[in-house]
Amino acid sequence: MIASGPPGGARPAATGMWQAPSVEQAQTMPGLTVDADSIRTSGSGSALRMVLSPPDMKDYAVRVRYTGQVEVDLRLQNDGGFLFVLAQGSQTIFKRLHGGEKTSDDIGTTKKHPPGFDRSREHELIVTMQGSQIRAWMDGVFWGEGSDETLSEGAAALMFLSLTAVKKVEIAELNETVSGAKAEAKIDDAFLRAVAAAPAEKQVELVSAKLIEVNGADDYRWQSDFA
Amino acid sequence: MVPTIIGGKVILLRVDRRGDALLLDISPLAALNDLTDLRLMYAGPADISCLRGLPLERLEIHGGTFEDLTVLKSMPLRFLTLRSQGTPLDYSILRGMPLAMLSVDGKQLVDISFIKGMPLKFPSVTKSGVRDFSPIAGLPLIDLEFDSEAKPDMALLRSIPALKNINSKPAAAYLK
Repeated sequence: MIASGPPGGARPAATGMWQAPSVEQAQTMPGLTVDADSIRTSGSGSALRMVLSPPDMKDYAVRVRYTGQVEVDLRLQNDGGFLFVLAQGSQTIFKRLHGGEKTSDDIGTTKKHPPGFDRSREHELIVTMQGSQIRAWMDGVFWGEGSDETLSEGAAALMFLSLTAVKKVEIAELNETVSGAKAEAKIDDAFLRAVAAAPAEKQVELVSAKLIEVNGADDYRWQSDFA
Repeated sequence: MVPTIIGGKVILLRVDRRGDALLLDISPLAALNDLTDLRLMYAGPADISCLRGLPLERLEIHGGTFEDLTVLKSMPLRFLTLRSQGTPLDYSILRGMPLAMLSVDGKQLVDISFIKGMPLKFPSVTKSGVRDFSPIAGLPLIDLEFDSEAKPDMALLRSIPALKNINSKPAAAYLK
């Protein structure tokens, strides 16, 4: 079910508080059907856009749980131009649509989906728009990126296409404290001594815990490779 | 959470971003003072000065909003990747460093004169504004990658005898 009001369980992560557009917003849009667990286009399946943010919001993240396919629009312009990330069945593309001309350019590398990617199953797509950069994660995995230097602000939106069934959509502003502020060092000599005195495996545990503590992060995985 | 540990020392660490959280503050990593290889994949650090003193020979950072690269001068770096940064960076600080591999991007990156004299074998400046490649003259390049819109002087490329690959193609085929 698309949340109404602040989403349950949402945490004030570094990207700011997630906000969910209300079910009522969808109910006011002709052509959308609000089911018990999702929102989709009805009837002809014509594409419909749900605006998620005010037009002056510059940097933001959009998180959408969906089945089928989904398109996240970014930096909407009055002339009809915008950027978008479109997750289809076999690929995800990053493009800019030029206002008026109705032509589009690639602004990032197309991500070919792995063979086991099943669009009939539920997926979570996160798209961040920060400065000129667009990045995307699918089901917690970094998915791809693009960049655009031409559009500096403009609302975010969700485009309902044929096959799109949205379970939940949220948006969070990426504010100055995220995009520009320098981190303050929060480690001290006692921490450094404790790590230095520990065996290697314990060192990683201590550092990992400290990273989580100082950043409020809770979903990082650490990897070794090329061993 | 399995780092690469050799001889009782944590020598390599790779941090992959998952979900929406950022690691703005990476200062705890400075406690791993045996690290020679650190890879931050879209973790989003806002400051890397805290890495001062680490014996890093290889550093790879994808994404981030840090602005000051001065700390790199304190490391014995030979392999450096700085990609998809959120802020323009002044790479001139790299001048004189003994880098064998350098991978940087950004349309604001135009001048690569700072690579003159480096023992550079593997430079990559794809997705950049670099159009003047004269600073590569005389370098022991093996692989060269540049922006698809750039048109380096073919004579200059031919003057580099060790060059084997250009933009992922065999140099001989590219230079035909």
